[in-house]
Amino acid sequence: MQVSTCTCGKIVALHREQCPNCGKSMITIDLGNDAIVLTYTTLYTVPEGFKAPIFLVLVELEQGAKLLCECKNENDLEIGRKGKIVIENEKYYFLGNTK
Amino acid sequence: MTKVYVSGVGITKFGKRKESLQTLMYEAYVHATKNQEQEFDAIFVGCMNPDEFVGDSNFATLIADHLGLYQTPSVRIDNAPASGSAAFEQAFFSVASGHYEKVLVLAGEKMSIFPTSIATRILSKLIDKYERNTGATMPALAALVTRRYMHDYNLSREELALAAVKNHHNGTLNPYAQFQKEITVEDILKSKMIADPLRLYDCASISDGACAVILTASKTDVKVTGIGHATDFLSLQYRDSLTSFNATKVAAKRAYKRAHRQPKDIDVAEVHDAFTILEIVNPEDLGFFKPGEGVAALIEGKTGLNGDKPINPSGGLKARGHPVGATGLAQICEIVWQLREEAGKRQVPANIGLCHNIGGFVNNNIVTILESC
Repeated sequence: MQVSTCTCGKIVALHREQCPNCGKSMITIDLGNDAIVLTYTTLYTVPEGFKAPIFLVLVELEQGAKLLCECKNENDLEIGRKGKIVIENEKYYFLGNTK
Repeated sequence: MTKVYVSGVGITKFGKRKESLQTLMYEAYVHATKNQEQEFDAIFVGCMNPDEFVGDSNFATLIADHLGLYQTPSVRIDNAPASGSAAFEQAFFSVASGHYEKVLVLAGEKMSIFPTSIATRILSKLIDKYERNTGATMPALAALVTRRYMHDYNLSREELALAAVKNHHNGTLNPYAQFQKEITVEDILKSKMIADPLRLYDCASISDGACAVILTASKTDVKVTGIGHATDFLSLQYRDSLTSFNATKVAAKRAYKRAHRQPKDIDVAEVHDAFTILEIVNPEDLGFFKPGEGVAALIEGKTGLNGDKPINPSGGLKARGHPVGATGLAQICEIVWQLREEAGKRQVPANIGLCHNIGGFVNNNIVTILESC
């Protein structure tokens, strides 16, 4: 899982050139795929081109960066749920650990 | 710096309107000028997306032409759903600087032409591209915030609904509101699920409408005493807090500093309740209540018309309707009426009022303080 870090202390998910906090160049590093659910929603009214429902989670990655992504299973929609980020077809998904 | 005062204000009824956007703006303009011929040094037009919603660009010229204000400088301000307050802010600067003496601010949007799915797609472009590509919509982001707030502060689904109940009640007293009908907690809990836990009646409507405000260097009975403006990261995933919005906190701090006021001095406020959760979070971020105490304030009636901190006497975005570009200026109109004791049945005692308008998903916010003088 890629995150970008800055000397100002800002850490954000995925690759990013300039820090959104201070404008300095960020350094992109690879971390593990562990994630924990901070909040979630099931979206029923979706924009054109998407299929309802969409399970969305905002998760915290290692070192505190956050990532918004789809959740594979409805059963994993729970604040505090631990799991991993998996990548399929260049899209990120949250998958809960076996309970 | 030149002192800046509000002269006339005008608004159209919000809702599904058959007229064109320029016709709605003309209606608001006639209301603000009381149909008296006036000259303006400039026109500031707040409108988020006429290109996509009504198929017109070069909208500032179109409006000057439509109003018959030949040769008057005209500029359009797009600041997402904070376009109305941003146009007001830029107009304020133009008079405060001494460059102009009297200017016209117009704001409006016509959104009802398209079905909800297309309007949702247009509005979703306000969201960061990565987040948008997950399927996230504005209600989805609001739902993520709601879910976390419910978890952290034990907010119940029924309590959340009270925000809409209160604002619909206020809307029954506002002849310009899109919805002038009481709703119950049960109505809200039975409405269609949009983004769990937010239902249809938790979300502001797709609406048409326009407003007009005249700003002048000549003294009137209402003065603009402070404007504060701040941005936040475009992505929700870049932000530290999920239950509080830094752009509101910083904009408010800047507005209070310029007006030499504190949250306790504000008699009445119009806040950007595009979703019910915002009716609870915004007053906390504006410093009216401590984090987590916005719910109690709502339940105890502190933010009602008879409370000591009335919020959204107009009905807010929820009941007045939310034509995105118009909203910020509609808030200004309401506060000016409150200060002038022209708010009819929804009048509250007020000498100092505050408007809080959000652009994007709470990342380009403007706070304006107006005072009787």
